[in-house]
Amino acid sequence: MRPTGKTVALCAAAGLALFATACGKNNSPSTPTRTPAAPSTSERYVATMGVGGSSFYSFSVNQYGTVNVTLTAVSGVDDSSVAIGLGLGVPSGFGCTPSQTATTGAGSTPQITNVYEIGVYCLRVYDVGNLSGPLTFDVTVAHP
Amino acid sequence: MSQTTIRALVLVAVSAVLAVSCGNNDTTTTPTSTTDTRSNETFGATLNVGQSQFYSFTTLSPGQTDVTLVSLRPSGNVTVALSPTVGLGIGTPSGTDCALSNATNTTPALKAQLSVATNVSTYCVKIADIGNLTGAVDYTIRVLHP
Repeated sequence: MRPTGKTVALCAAAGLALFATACGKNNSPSTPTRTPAAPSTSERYVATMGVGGSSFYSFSVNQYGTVNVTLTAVSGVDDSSVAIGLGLGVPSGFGCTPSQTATTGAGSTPQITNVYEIGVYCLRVYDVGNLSGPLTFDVTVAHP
Repeated sequence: MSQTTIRALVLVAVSAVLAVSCGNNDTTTTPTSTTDTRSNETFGATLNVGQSQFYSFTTLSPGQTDVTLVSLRPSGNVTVALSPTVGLGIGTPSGTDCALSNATNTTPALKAQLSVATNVSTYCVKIADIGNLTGAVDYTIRVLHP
């Protein structure tokens, strides 16, 4: 028995519907976007650095999020606006290997800010050549 | 059944048995030698009386980390070996120090004095004078870690 025009039309419609459904599906996996956590704790590092000196301070980031480093004050020098080096990195060997650095004077807003995964990091403070005597620095590290 | 047929059947059966037994693969396993694929970091410096120092390293996979205080020598002297008991520890860099999770008082040896399970992270090894040094010493420490 030959199919009727109606039957052919119904089959074609069904086929088209299936085709449209299959092509309409977006099978590409979506990458979830992560929102970095805001700093939830602050650690203060106060120390004295000599001419040509450096020191570092380690801290642990407990959640993927933003780390802010603020050199809030320096003292012991004639010029309180003297610029020193700040670096953020990972403890390595006998020191701290910075992946991000800044040469800056003291201020109230973060001079270094970045987003980090969970892990152990370090702040390095160093003389970039501007010191003529020992300097006491006050740095705050805010992190998740 | 004729004798010829019987003989043929026996021949087929014997051939089948031979094929099965010859087909067995009696492979003997070749013993594989295990190679330690961990990273070896050897470091040293001078430790003064009453002082402590630490050295940081990063592990790339979970596993075992071995710490060996290999030698102690009078500072600047490469021929004399000393064996005072010093503090040796492993931990995590924290603040301006190394916060220890495992520690021991030990003398130099060729075998690891500390073996600890470590995860993927940054760790530190610390050596400290616990009161037995009478002068500065040059130390060598080996860290074997994933």
